[in-house]
Amino acid sequence: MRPFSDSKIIDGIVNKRPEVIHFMYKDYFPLILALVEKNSGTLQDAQDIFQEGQMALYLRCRDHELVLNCALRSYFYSICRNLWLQRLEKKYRLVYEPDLLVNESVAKYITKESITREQKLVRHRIFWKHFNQLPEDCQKVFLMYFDKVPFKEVAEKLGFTDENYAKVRKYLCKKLLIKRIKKDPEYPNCVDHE
Amino acid sequence: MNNHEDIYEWISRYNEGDLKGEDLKRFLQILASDPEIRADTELDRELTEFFKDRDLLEFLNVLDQVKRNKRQGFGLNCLLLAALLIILVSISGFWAYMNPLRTGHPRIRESVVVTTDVESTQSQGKIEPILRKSPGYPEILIGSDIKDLNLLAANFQPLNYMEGMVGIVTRTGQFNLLSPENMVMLVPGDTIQFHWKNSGETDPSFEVINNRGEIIVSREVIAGGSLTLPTHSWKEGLYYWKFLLQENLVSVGKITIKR
Repeated sequence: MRPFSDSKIIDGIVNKRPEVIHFMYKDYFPLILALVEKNSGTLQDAQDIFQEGQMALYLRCRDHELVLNCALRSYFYSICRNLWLQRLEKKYRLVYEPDLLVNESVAKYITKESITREQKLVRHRIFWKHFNQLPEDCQKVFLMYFDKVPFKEVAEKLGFTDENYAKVRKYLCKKLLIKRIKKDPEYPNCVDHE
Repeated sequence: MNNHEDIYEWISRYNEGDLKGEDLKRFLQILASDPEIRADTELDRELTEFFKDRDLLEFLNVLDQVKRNKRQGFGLNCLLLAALLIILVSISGFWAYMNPLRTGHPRIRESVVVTTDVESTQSQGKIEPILRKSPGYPEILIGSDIKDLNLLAANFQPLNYMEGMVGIVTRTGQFNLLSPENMVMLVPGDTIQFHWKNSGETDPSFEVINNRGEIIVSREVIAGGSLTLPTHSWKEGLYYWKFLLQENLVSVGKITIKR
């Protein structure tokens, strides 16, 4: 595969070009896998971190927040590294909470703001994972509802008896989604508890 | 709100701005007093925000598609690789079958070794090779390997599985080999004498094999306690002798014949 320049990759990400995403998987993923595996992570951890890194990069590109002072590859690596360090820090904190009261935390370089932002990425990854696991009609109801398609039309398109059933279906699907998200073992770690 | 189930409906309506009047007032009271409802309301709000970000959803969808294609591609690659391997194995198998002389290691079409039985042929004044089944010994190829017999150096290559057994003596109480030592050096034409004591009821059998694992001498039962073995028909090289009692190995040694 022909390598893409950084600007081509950024353009490809913003425009959601599959060939660019594919290139990133091929070219960037081994780096992230090595980083995660070297720090006691698994392939699944690496895949999660990689997806969160791609989401972060996409949002920064889309929202014009990307300030690139180095190669994109290094930039992406540092995003993923921070994500992974935060995850490790959380794990560390859970295990060694009493020590952290007297010793300096490994998280001294991680700001509250960045934690909030990265936690949101994790939550969104979890939302997407569970959304994909919903029954197909649930997914369609959701997408049409958020596209502001009238319930009457939703019912017609999805073969429901009437718009009331479409409303009930949307309500039940959302309830199911919320239930699954709350049950996800990762979810409690990415929400701020009061 | 009649029961706890309905709270999700209220949360949803609240986040969408549809909850009004008394219902809204009651809901706000609940929200203020119940942290779990607050967390659920926050989750619902964030979900709504997430699903409204269609750009991000499309991006995630593309990520999933690429991942799926990658997996399918990997699966396809595995299938292609497996097919290629099968073809290669088939071709090489067919090739080896058709060209037995080209294989680098012994292979045999039937379990037959070339054996020169000195005893049986000596009386007739000439040595004829006798084809004999040799169970329990490495099979050798009649063909290209037989050419190697002519290479002198090849005759001195140790036979690994015998080499490790040289010098072993078992059942010492019953069978005691008096001579020779377990490593004997001879020149072509020498004779070798074996002496032993055997207090058991069964007589030992005796074999000599060459360094290719071929049996060149075999005596089923030897009574008396001695054996004289002429070696004039043996080529220069390495040989191993062994005594067996009821097919169990009791003594192993090595003979080197060299000018």
